[in-house]
Amino acid sequence: MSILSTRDLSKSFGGIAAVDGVDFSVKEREIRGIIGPNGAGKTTLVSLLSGRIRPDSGRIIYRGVDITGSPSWKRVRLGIAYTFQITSVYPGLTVYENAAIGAQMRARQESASRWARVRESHVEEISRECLRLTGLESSWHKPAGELAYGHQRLLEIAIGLALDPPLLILDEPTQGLSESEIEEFIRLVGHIRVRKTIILIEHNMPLVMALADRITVMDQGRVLAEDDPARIRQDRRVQEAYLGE
Amino acid sequence: MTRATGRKSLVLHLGVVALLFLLQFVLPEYHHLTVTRIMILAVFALGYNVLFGYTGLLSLGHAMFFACGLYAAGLTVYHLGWDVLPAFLFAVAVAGAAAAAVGMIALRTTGVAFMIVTLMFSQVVYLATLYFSRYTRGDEGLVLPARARSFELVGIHVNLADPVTRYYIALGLLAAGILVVHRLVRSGTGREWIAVRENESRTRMLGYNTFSIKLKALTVSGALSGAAGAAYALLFAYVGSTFASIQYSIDALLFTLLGGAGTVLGPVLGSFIMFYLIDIFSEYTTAYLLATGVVLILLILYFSVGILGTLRRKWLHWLP
Repeated sequence: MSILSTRDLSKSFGGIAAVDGVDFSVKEREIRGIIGPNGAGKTTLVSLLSGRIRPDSGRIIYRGVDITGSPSWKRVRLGIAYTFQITSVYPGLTVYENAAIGAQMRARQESASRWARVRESHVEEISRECLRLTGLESSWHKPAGELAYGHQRLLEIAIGLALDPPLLILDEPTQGLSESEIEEFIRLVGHIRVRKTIILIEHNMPLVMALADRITVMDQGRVLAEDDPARIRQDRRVQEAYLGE
Repeated sequence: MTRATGRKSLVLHLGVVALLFLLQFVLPEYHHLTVTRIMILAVFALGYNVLFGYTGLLSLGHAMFFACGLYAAGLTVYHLGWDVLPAFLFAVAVAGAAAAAVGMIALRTTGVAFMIVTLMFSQVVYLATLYFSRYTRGDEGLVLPARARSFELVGIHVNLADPVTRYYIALGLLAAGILVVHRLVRSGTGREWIAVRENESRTRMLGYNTFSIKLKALTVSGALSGAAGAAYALLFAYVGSTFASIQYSIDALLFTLLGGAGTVLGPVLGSFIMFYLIDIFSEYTTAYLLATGVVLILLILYFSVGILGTLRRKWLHWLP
């Protein structure tokens, strides 16, 4: 059963087709890697999926509902969370408050009615759990802007996790992380993958190969190939376009 | 924020209210009246701070909401013979509704464009008060009739011409304003406002409708500003175009910046200091606006977090 799919999705910038007639479909609880050379249209594709930009044509269907015209915040409420490629936390607020902003949205959605009061203790519970998962528990009172870069990346994910979204789009989550931080990230994905669908855009090839159930290869705005990691590794077209061998 | 710091902060805010209560017993007559005025203006600044300090939107047109409250109260009392209390409540509602209406348009813009659009709307209100001088008597203004100088509340006769009564009413309004803002900014609503201020695009990507969050902030902000305007009209029995001029918009910004934007008590402190600063300065020269300008420039260049903002950064991390 597909959780998210696109039909003939296109978006151009100044005459250049960044995403060009993409048909794309992700199954429930799948980890889908999206790879491709720089400028292949990966980030444009996920920006279209998350609603940060609007497509020129085509459709986006989430759990049977056409969400092509929905604003980004509505898609998040439906269950599509997005973590930014360029770290986008709240640098002036504490680590705890960062997580709490995500947690408050989830607590609100879990409350009985629209006007029911969100209990602060519930927000706190969710926030602490997300910080524990990402190993940021001990720095909860620090301003997020003072965290090391790798920890800000993890906080970015923690905020996304606080929403407890069925579908999580991670845009280059390990960019700029150290080896040990990448290991931490793999452990984290292993922990959350049981309950979630994840779309993972990554440059780190061994990481994608290790984590993804299936991989979509993009090149020049189109889907070049889509298969399981072992086959993708052997696909000749992929090797030519991307791996450069 | 934990429960312990929450209590600490509530005690501080109640303490400030208690201090203002005690102040009246030691103040000479002139300062007694001045403090009454300042407390009303502080409510205006409290309202301004909701939008600017907590939600991060710089409006250059808040005089329009102050004026909405002022005129809605003043005109209904003067022309329609309304009683003081209904006029006050009506004025708060009018200012809130005006803020929501302006917000529907102005909030489509951000940054400098937002400043200009709010300034423009505010000028429209200012010019309208001059244009409809048949009803408002423009710059000259209206003096409210004697029957509007008192009202009955649950059998108690309240005389608005009495300075002590006025002081209590101004204090009561300020205390209510402080407690409302204190409660709001420490609630989920306040968290949303601050989230928009700190990173709007991230907040949208966490499922928040940031437009409606900003609209809510502007409406609360406008209603508080309008409450201040209405109280000013009813306590001092006068409405005039000056109150709708840009100078009042700048004052609200200045009070907030000086005391500390994004702190509950900052605008209150800023109102007191700035009002007295201008008061002292105008004893020496008629160019008292110069003081406003110089302080504004210095604040923006060297002291953008204000007095309480500095205290919070250095020592009082728990200050809301």
